[in-house]
Amino acid sequence: MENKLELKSIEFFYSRKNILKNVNLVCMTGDIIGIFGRNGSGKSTLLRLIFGTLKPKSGQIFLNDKPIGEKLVLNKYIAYHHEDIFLPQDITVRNLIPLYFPKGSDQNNIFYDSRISKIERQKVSTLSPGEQKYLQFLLLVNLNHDFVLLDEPFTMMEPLLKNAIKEIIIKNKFRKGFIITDHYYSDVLEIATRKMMIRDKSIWEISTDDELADSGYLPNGIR
Amino acid sequence: MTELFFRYYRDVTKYNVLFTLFITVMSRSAFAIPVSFGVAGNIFSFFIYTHFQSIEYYFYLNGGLSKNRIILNTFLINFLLSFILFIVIWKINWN
Repeated sequence: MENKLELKSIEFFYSRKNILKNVNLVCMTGDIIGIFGRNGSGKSTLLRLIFGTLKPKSGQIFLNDKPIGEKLVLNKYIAYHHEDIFLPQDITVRNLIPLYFPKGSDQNNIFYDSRISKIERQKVSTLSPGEQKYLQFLLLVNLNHDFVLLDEPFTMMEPLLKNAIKEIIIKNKFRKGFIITDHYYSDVLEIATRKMMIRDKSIWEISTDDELADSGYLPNGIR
Repeated sequence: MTELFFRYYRDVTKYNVLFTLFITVMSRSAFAIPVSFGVAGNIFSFFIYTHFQSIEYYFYLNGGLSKNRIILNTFLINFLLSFILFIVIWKINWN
């Protein structure tokens, strides 16, 4: 089934400061939308608005044409990968995985991952930040959610883990929609099926990578 | 879902237990146990968890548990346990 996530005329203020204005966005199953923008432009805010942990001042977010609220998030339609690690620390990887996947068959995708099988007996707190972030990513992508919001999934990742993340996203795009933001822009550009730019509180679609420089996100001459 | 909730319950209640032990030792009264565990220690544990581990609420939210719901459920469980404990201590003292 193809699902649709739609933002209509979203406006958001933080302490009277206008962060986002008239933001419109549609994400369908199969989309990998890369969102680019400078620090403080509102990328993370946008993802938190979609996830429901922030409320827009005006505008609405729809999931399959139904207004979205906490219920839809809690009913497992949208997963959100925070830029920081949010996993409980005082628990082994082996005991953490069943908290999200009580059925043994659902745990296989994670336990059979070669990088996870090596660390399954370790406590989360003893893993490197990159390993923790990869585990966090893997848990979220394997949940049965229709959309996954990824805030800085490539940050702190070694090249091999970055590649693994990209492969998993591409493998799952046929059943999910992804919205990704990360300053490791070349990794995002590599897998994004659509690219969007946030600047001056607005968001718009870009068609060529050169527009990242033209819009002031990258220094001239760098791609 | 239940296992996920009890993971949170365990994490937050450990602060409550430590607080309650401290209050009980200081007050030297058995009645301090239910009063602290059900009310003051409960509030203290949410404060400490939110201060040091608030990022973990995203873990529970992604798993389908809202912050308000897990806080309320934890508070109610501890309050109920404290009420039962209060009755038991009161009965022992009365006899």
